[in-house]
Amino acid sequence: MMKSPEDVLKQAAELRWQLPQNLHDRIAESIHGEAARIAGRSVTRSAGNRRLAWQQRLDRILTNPWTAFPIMVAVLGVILWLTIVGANVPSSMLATLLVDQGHALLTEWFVAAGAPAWVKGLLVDGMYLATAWVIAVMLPPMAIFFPCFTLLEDFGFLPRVAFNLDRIFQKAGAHGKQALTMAMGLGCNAAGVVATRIIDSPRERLIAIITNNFSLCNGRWPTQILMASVFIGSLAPKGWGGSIAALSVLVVALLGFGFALLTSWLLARTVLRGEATSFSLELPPYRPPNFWKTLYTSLIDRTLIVLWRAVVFALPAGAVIWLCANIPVGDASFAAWFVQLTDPLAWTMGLTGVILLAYIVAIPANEIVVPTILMFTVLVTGAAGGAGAGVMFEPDTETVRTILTAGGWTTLTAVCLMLFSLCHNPCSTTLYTIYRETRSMKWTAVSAFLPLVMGFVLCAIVAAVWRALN
Amino acid sequence: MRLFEKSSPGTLRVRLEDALKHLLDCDESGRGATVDSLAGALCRPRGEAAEILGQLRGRGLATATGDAHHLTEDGRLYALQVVRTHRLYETWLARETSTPAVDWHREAHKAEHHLEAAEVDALADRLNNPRFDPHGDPIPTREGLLPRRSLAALASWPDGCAARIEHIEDEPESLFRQAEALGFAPGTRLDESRHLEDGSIECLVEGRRVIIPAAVATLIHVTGPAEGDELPAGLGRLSDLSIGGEAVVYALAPSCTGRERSRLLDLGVVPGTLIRCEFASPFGTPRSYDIRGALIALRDHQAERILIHQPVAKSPA
Repeated sequence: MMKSPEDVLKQAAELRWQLPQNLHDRIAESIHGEAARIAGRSVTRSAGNRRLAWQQRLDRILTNPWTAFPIMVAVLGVILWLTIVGANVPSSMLATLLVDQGHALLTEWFVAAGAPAWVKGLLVDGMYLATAWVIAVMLPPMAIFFPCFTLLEDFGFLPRVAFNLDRIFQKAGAHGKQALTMAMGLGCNAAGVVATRIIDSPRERLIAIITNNFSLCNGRWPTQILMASVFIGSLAPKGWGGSIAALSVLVVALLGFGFALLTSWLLARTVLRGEATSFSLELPPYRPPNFWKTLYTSLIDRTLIVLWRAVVFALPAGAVIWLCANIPVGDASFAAWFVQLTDPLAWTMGLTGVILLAYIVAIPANEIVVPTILMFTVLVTGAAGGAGAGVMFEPDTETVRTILTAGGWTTLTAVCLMLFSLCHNPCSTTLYTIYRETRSMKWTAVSAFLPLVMGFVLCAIVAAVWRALN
Repeated sequence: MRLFEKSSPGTLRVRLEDALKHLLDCDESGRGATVDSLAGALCRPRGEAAEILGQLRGRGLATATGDAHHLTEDGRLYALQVVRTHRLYETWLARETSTPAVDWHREAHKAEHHLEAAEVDALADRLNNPRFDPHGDPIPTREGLLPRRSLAALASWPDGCAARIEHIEDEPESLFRQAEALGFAPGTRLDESRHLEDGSIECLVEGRRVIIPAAVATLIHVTGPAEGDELPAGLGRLSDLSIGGEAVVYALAPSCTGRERSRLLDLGVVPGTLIRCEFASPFGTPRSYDIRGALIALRDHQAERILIHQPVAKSPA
């Protein structure tokens, strides 16, 4: 008997309901199973697929509760030490070349060419000098940190770190791989944000992006180290200054780790509620990294791209800094007015108006915060030293102490600056990267203002408690 | 939210559609909807409920015989469309977002009044026209067909008989949360069930003994398992495998859905795969498993959704 197409469709529609509920899942499962069977029959493996004994032993050491954490801390410590100490020499060479000689040479040329003072000021003292600072301070540490990091990744160590720390991140509602992106953030937050691509769940990835700023990036290490050695190290008994200063920087960095977890936890319980889904982390076999290839790709992929973005943002920032110091409003510069106006607000946070101004004009790069602060302090207080209005500089530790003390700084100012340097908006390079990765103004704004508000509150509390105790 | 309801333009639509769903419920269960039942269902005063029913009659969506109100054919189709939107939206949330299960209902309840028919059909196409939502409720087809099913309440299921969960009610939320925490989903198999004195039910779920509190059992509806659906002996979960132990994958649990499921399948966690537990992280979870020669770390709550049985000596194929 022939059936009309309508009848067949109707019958199919009815029969459809009689199939088991999870039919699709079962079909997918059996297709995958069949594929695995075919592969098993036709692919011959050269060796047994049991893992090598030494790899098993290494895994056991690296994930043992007693040895895992000391090893991880030691490796991180060595990399940071290599980065900070190793970058000193090339950094000072670059500074001599670009800042001292390059700046002097350009000044000579402009004077010889008969350029007006403001043209020379804007282009050379402002734009050139800011860019030269960023390159001198940023390039060497990144050129050391990123290759080291990539070598560890290629060797297979970093996935084990994520594996070991996952439980902590799971408690905070985040992904274990966030440990890796945070470690990457120690080099550069923009690179850390890009690295969150390894997290496949969008919710956990967003958490990792927003909290990456709490990893103290290498643009902020110099600020921390300078403040710690000038103000905190000097409180310690003779001979202990260096260790106490180093310890205080470490405390700030660990505080950053704590804030990142706390913020992740808060986000995961409020605006980014959701389930920890599809966690799967491959622990690749250990293999000797390809040294030269790694060096090349990490220089090109990470260092140069990040540096280029920083330079693009540093050029206009240099112009703005110079203009702030040189545009007169009434009888003083714009900078002086701004500092006077914001001083009361800054006081409640244990900071000064100069610091706030420096953090606004230095949004493009954290590297230029300290030179900018020094320049503005000299400008506002008229203290000795300095290289002229709008010209950034960074003298030795003793001169820094003299200049800042003249600017009314105390140990409280230094402590609050260290905290504010940890908890404030990411630099514009990072913000731009966040926007590129999330394609959302909303999340970019959250990433900018969340740490800023936390920084304000934290500094205000510390300042209030400090003043109440003294 | 309630503060602004009076003035927001969509309010009337929301009220009417919620009322239509109530009338559909009443029609399905064979009793007529009254002003009182509607006022109760919507949590609104009687006067307002009466007004809403008047509106429905005025639009030809409902008729009244005495006190009892019933849907007209148009009203029924409209109500089914709202239900369809709700259930499709829940399915989408479950499959393609990481929204927690307890939020599905609330989110879908908001969305059902905003999506237009064309958007709903596009959503259905994208999801491959699913038949059931994540709670096991059938989704009305675009022609407005909704099959009737005869499901048994878990509480009335005879002791000792195997059962398969077909539907889990998502309200009240606190109870649904408990059912979810037990790892229940439509398709989950319950074996060796036994009523305890306090009304709770003890049973074997995917290799683990579980006690279902009486209140949670009221949310669950079951049928018998399909014919030939025999469980292998020694069924267990991957999370219960000891370190160094080996097992063969039997299946992924029905509660493992969406991305998580496809990710595991992609990794080669398919029926028949031999898995060996290698070592645990310092905190005990995640643990690493040797899956087809690759070392993969999985969290415990994922590993407990992978059902395993002991390897049997196979004859050479």
